[in-house]
Amino acid sequence: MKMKKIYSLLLAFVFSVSAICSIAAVSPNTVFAAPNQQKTAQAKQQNNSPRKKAKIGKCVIDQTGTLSSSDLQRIDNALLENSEKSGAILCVAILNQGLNEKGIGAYANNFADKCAKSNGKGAIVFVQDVKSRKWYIATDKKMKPALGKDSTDNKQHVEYISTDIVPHLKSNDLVKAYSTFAVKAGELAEFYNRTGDAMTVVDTTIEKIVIAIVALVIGYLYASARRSSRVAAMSNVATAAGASDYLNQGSFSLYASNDSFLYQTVTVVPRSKSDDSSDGDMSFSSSDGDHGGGGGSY
Amino acid sequence: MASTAVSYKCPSCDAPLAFTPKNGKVTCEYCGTEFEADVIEQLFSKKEEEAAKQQAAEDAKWERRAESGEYSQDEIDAMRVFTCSSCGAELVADDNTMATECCYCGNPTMLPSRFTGDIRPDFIIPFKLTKKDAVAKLKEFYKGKDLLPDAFTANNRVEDIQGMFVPFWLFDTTANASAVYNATSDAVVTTSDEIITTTSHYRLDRSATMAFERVPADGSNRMQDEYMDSIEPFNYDEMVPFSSQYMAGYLADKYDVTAESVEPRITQRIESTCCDMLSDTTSGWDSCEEENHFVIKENGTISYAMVPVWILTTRYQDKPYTFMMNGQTGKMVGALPTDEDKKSSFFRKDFLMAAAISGVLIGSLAWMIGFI
Repeated sequence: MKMKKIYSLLLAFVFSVSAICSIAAVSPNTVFAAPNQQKTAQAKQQNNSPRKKAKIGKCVIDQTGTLSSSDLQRIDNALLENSEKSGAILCVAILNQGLNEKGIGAYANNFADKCAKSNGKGAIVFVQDVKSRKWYIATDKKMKPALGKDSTDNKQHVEYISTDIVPHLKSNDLVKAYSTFAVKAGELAEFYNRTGDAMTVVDTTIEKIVIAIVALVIGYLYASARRSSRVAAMSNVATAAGASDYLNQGSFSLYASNDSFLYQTVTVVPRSKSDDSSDGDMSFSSSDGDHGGGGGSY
Repeated sequence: MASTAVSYKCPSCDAPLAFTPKNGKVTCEYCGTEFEADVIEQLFSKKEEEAAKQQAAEDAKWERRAESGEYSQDEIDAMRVFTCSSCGAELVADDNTMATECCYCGNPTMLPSRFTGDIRPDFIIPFKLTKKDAVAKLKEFYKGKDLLPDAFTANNRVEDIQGMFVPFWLFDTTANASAVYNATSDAVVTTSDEIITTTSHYRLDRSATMAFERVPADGSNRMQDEYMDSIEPFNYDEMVPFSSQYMAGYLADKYDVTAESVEPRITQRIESTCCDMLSDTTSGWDSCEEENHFVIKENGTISYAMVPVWILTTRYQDKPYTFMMNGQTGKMVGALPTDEDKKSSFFRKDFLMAAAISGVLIGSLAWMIGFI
C-alpha cells in the first residue's frame, strides 16, 4: 500500500509539472514546435473558442479540458491498474495544439522519458492531438524492446495497441479508447517484464495455412504437369495437322492485303480508389535509439 | 516354263542379292560382288517382263481353281500364287505384294506384275539405314521414358524386324488462299477517375498463293495413317526414279488406297498451313479472329512413290507393340507401355518436392516482406 501511494504521488507530481508547463506554454512541445506555429495555434484557440481549463489526473493530462471528472477518474483508474499489473508506467496526454507528425512524435518521446524518469520504470504513453487529429504511441528506452527488435516488429506492436483505440477516438469515446490502451499496452509491458522478450502480437496461423495451401496447389499442378509430359513422352504417334514441311518457302506470295476500318467503340471503366490505410494502421514514426513507437491519424 | 516371280540372284554364284543402304549398291551376300543399280536393272528387266506375262497366264488358271469352291471369293480376290524362280516353290502372296522373300529358299523375290504398266511407281526412296540401325534406334527410343516398365526393357527382344517399302501418294499443288479476319486495336487513356478504352474494329482481307511440293499420304490400308504421318518428313533430294533393284531384300506392297481416297487428308493439311501462313501476316493487332477462309488448289499433280520403313515388333505381357522407323531419316515412332506404379510414384515424388520447395520459398518471401 505504501508503495502504491508513493507511486501515485510521483505520478501526480510528474503530471502536475507537465500540465503547468503546458499551460504556461513551456510544455514539452515548445522544445520542438516552431514559435510561430505555437503562437498561431494559441491565437486561433483564443479567437475561435473560449479556452477550457486543462485537467490533470494521476496518469492523464487533458489540455483540452473536455474530459469530465468522472471520465478522467475512470481513465486514471484503468491506467493505474494496468501500470501496477505490468510494472510499467502507462500515461495519456490529450493535446489541442495542431502538431504535425514530427511534432507529436517528439512530444510523445519527451513525455515518455519524463514519465519513466520519475520512478525508474519503463513507460508507454499515448498522445492524442485533437486539433490535428493525430495520435502517437511512444516508449522510453527501457520499454522500447517491448515493441520488438526492429521497425517491422515496432510497427506491428503499435498497430496491435492502436487498432482497437482509433475507432473509439473517431467516435470521441475517450474512456473506451484509453481503457483499451491501458489493457493492451499493459499486456505488452507485462509480457516483456516477465520474459524479457516482446510479445508475439501477430497471429500468423491463417497466413501459414494459406502458404501451405498455395504450396500444396503448386505441388499438385507441378506434379500433374510432369505426369502429363511423362505420359505424352511414351508415344510420339500423331496425325499430321499441317503441310508446312512441304511448303516451298520461296513460293509464298501475298497479293492482297487490305485493312478496312469498320467502327469504333468506347469503354469507360471507373478506377477503383484504394483505401490508404485502415483504422489503427501506423503511418509514421519518430522512433530512435532511445524510443520506440509510432503514430497515425484518425 | 517361265516363272511368275523373279529372284534377284548373283550372276556369278547364284546366291541371293540384296540392296545395301551403306553404299547404295546391290550386293551378293555370299561372294560379296557389288553391282550398280542400272546393271541389275538391265540384267533382270527381261526376266521381269517374262514373269509378268507368265503371271497373266497363271491368273486364268487361278480363276478356274476358284470355281472348285475351296476358297471363298474374298480369299480368292486377295491371294495370288507365284512360282519362286530360284527353287520352284509356289509362293502365295496377297494382291498387293510387290516384293517378298521365298519362305523355302529365302531368296528375295520380285512380283513384277505388281509394278509394271499403270501401277508402276514413279519414285522410290532407297533404304539408307540398316536393320542394325533400326534396333539401335529402338533402344535409343526407350531412353528417357520414365514410365517405361523395367521388365519391358530387361526382357525385351525384338520379335520381328521387317524392312518394307510402303506406297505413298505425293501431291504437288499451288494453293490460292484467301481469308477474312476481324481485328481490333485498343487505345487506352487513364484519367484520375476512369480508364477509357477506345477500340477500333477492322476487317482484314488477305490473299496469297503458295506452292506445296510432294505432300505425302500413305496408300496402304495395312499401315496406320497416324504412324505413317508420324515418320514424316522425307528428304526428297534422295528420291530416285523407281527401280525394282532397290527393293531387293525388302518387302514391298503396292497401293491399295487410291489417291482420290487420301485427297481429303491432304486438302485438310494444305488448308491448315495456308491459314497459318495468312494468319502470320496479321500481326500487331490487339485481337484478331478468322471469320472465314477459302483455299483453291491449282495445278495439282499426284505421283506414286515407295518409301522405306523399318517395322519392329516386340511383345510385352502377351501384347504386341509395333514401332516404325523412317528407313531414310531414322525417325522412330511408336507407343510404349506405361507402368502405373511408376506413374503414381513419380507423381508423389514430384508433388512432395514441389510443395516443399514452393512452401519454403513462399514462406521465406512472406517472412522477408513481413507477411508472417
